[in-house]
Amino acid sequence: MMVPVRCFTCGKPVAAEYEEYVERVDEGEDEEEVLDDLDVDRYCCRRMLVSHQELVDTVAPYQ
Amino acid sequence: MEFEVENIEGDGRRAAFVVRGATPAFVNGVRRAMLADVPTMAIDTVDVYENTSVIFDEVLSLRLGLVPLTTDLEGYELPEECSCEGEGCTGCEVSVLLDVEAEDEDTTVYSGDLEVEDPEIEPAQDGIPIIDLKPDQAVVLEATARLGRGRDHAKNQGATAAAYKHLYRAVEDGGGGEDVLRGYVETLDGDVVDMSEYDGRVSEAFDDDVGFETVDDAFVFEVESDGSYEAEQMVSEAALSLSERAEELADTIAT
Amino acid sequence: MNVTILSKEDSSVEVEIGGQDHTLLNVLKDSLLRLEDVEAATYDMNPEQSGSKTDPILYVETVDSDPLDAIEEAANNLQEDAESFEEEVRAAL
Repeated sequence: MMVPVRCFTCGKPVAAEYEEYVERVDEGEDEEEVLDDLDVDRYCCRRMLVSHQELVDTVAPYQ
Repeated sequence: MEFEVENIEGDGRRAAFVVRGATPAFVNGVRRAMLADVPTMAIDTVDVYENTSVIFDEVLSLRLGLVPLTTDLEGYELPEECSCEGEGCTGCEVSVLLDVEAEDEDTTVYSGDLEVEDPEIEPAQDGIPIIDLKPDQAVVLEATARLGRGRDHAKNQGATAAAYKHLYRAVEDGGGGEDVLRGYVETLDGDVVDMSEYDGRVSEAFDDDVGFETVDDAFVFEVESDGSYEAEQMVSEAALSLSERAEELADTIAT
Repeated sequence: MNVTILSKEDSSVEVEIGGQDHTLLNVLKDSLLRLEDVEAATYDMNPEQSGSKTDPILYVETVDSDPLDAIEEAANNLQEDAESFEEEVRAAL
């Protein structure tokens, strides 16, 4: 559904970086560089953003 | 113990420093206290008046709870230590309001839309997406934020990283040995260098015949906070919580 | 803090320390072992395989002084250490 607010493993708040991450990757920037730039250093936090699938638009019609 | 603390780098939420003159048990106590004992403010209960979004009330409440709030330990007590005995009063809780309606376009509700009654307390980040609203959907709710400890709920774990390791020291005529070292290393002159500046490569940072050993009583700490505190405040609060417990034990034993 | 003395002899003691975990006890044990007169000090987080549902038990043996005094001294030393550490941290960071 929505991006998890915090990293499941370490608890770092990662949700605030998600929109910028998606935007910059869509513009063709390299994922690795964007994550480094956003100070998402640990791989536990990186997977939170990399592997997230936004589903709100998919389920919206079924409310 | 005679401590010596040396700052390496820090910018608010992150800090790295060397502690000299400590035992492994002591630094571990501080680390554990940072993770589990230092209280942080977080939303704890939510009264949902209206929620017509596609997110369930429970999920919404969890997301609200996970938003880090700046913590003011002077102004608030833990509910169980408060004079109201956990009933809830202005000394241990603060109310948070959220009222957003998406009129005719898609709207995302951010943590910055939360209105906290006390200006001292605010979301540590304004850009955390809480919920997506489609046209005509709305959320109206009133929440209560309280102090809590990391050992009771992960939302109250103020330190997102609290780690230490022994300090490495370069020694003369050590005969090389290491090719790659990570983290912080003390040079022959006693300075502490960050090996990531050299991409971890020992040959670039040191002479060929330098060897390495760990310093028994020196520890390199790396601390990152979730925004509830500045990193250094987190470390001092952890040390204070350890000293409070020790004092309490000494007093109890003495009587 | 709820402290119960489970058994006590001239040079040894077993105390149950309510509501505490490794955070305090491991540091306290270290502080105890650094006292001249303490011969042995350890603690059990999981006495009688309770699955940590009970409180930890601290065991202390001394050479010839009251073990309870040793615990008190160790706790006082720890408190001083933690306070001086806090001052150092505030000064340095």
